[in-house]
Amino acid sequence: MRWNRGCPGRTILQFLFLALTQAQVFAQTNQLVYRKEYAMGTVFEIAAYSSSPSLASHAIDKAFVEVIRLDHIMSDYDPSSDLSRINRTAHYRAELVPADLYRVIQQSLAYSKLSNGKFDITVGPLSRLWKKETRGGSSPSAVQLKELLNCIGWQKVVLVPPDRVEFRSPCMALDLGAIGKGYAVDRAVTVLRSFGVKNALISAGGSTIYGMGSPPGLPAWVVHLRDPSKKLSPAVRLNGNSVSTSEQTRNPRPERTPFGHIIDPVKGIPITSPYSVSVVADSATESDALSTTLLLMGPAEGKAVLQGLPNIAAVWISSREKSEYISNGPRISMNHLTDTGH
Amino acid sequence: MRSQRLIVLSSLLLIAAAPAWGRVFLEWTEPAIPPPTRIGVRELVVSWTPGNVRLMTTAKSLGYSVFAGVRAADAATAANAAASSGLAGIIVESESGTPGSNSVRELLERLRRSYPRLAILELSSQGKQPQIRGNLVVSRDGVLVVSSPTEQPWIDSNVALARFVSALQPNKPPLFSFSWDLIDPLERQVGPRAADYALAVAEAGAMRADLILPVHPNLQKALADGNQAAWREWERVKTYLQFYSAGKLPAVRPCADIAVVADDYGEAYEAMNLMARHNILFTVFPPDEVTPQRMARLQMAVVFSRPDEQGLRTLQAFADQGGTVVLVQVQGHFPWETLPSIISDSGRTYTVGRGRVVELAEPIADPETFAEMVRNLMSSRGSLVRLWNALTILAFAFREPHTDRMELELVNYAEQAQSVQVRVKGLFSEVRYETPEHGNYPAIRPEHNDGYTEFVLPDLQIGGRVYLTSEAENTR
Repeated sequence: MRWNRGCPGRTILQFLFLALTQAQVFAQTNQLVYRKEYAMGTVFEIAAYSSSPSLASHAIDKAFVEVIRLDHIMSDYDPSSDLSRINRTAHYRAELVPADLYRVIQQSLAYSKLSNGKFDITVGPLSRLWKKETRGGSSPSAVQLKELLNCIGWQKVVLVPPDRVEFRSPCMALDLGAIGKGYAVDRAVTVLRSFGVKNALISAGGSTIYGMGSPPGLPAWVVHLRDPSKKLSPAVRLNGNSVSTSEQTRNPRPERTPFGHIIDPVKGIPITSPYSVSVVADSATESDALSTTLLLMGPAEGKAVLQGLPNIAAVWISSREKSEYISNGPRISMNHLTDTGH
Repeated sequence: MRSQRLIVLSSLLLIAAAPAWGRVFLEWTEPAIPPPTRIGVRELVVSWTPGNVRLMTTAKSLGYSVFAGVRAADAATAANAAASSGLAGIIVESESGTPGSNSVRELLERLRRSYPRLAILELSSQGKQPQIRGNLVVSRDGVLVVSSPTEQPWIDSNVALARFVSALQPNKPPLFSFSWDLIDPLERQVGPRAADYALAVAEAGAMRADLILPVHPNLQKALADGNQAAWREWERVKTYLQFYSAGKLPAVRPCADIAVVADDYGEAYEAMNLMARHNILFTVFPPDEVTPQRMARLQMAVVFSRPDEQGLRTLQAFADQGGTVVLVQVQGHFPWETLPSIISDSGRTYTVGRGRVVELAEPIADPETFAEMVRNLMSSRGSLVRLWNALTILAFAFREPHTDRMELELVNYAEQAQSVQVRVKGLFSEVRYETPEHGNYPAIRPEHNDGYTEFVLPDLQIGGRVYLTSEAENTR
């Protein structure tokens, strides 16, 4: 009840009492600071434990400033972003780009190589085409798809050290949707560390989550993973590492296929996959890029790619309780029902 | 000195321009309060407790219109005391806080008859702090985290509440309030930011609703103490208070594509909330008001409560002329039952003349799918307003009766500047845009496309207003 709060005198006493008891408690322990900010088309959230909440709050504000700065560089919605600029002008012309964009493209190309082209940031023209179709446009014709497939290809992106990028295609456009948020999370972690924050959880829209240190009294941050089967209860403990989850967009009209935001760069159409894929890795950039890659590859091919990579774990889970798992270090627990809370 | 005079003058103008809609009442709890000329709001709500008598007296002497906030159980006593002590009115909250409680409305009617000079208002306290919600669940025990594919931002809005309350009292603006959702101890101590207050004012103003704005106790103290930083923050809020007290088309009426026919708030809430989230413009009315007049200009009716026979005939005629009627688990026999139909997993679809009637056999289990279905059913005729690049923005449309003038209100829950692409049904030659931060922009050049007007609005920080005038209107 709004008007049932007693007289203000009592409220102030309660407030003072709470403040005093909290001060006593927090003098001994860390205090939780939570903030959220809209960026990159989703909500970034940071929860930190710190003995200096005001410092942590300031650090989080600075981390968000960094995320928004990166959004202004890597956004494909904002026509004034650096990404949009090179998408307009870098065809057969080496364009100057900010260091962050150069680094993200460089890392993206490494994942393209690793996945033999399954991970490919050059799918921009195809992403646009299918987005248009989702909004009610007509389905792309085979001719259209063939034309656009000729535009793309990660080998057609040329990095000119130290800071230039060129497209060897007349119609290429980059889409950093499968790696940009991960990179932004890693940058936020760096900013938080620079302010002395040691224990924090950073989430980019729930799909990429990094755990720094741990919450008070616990060895790690427990993250429950997306479980389409609703029976496996997968969970992971993060302490100095990250988890990302990828899944194709749910099709509200199953009669209309293919559908979704994850495009197969080889076929040029949205993939159809029964799986939700979660990947644990040392950095958010890596987990973000690999989760999309492994969704595109499927379990058999994906496991083969991960064989050589240290400190990675991945799980594929379908709605029919089918799951595939691989780990080169981090553990993803299943049926994790009793010891995940804190 | 001159600038001080200007500030005082503009504040006086602000509080003198009390509009018939979009009023903001400040909720005050601390003993000291600055004068209304500085605060920029004249209406004050103080909880009806013995300890607040002095605050009410002080506020009244400073020039505030003081309203006592009371529970329904105390309303009669409070009304008597308020009338004799010269308060402006009482604001009554029902025991459940649920809109539409008949017993409260009857009580208020009785009190209005007994105290005709006292404003007696009903509060819907089930409002939420307008904001973008995150995915982490932060509680006293820690942080619950569940990974997912990237979630689109979820908006906590009061659209469903305001629309439902409007249906109950069509000639009065809805009045609602909320509590701040302050999660961590530091935030609880510091209170909301100016942008949060501004967003709350913008949302209520954009919906033409009245709002009781709770002012955090520490901000109250700081303002009363003359704290410069606090006043700088409050000046930002005042910009919004001023903007939303100065709509230029006061006679406008809300536009909608869809009618929600319901008399139970809880039953229709999820669907209304999702439609609001998807920028589907809807109006709500009770089942006994399903008339051809109410259904005019609408594309669809989503029916949660069964209308009487006359209402059912109106729905059939509406479908016959090309409209879509969706019945959500409404029981009984219907006039279209003899017509051909198709059975699917979700229910039965009848072809009725140029339109259709969809009978859903189950309650709405997945509101997201339901909102998507509504959008798909609407797509053939196109919605009145569509936004692009606007995951965090809600739009509200109004029309000036007997003219081709429209007004759009936009609210950006992300609280950061964004350009937004807008498409409005109809051909408008003049598009004017204003925001609290920038005032009027130069005229925006619209493009006409297949019966629609399209334009891009720059820098929508939190709130913005667009005036649309048709070619015909301009030459009148």
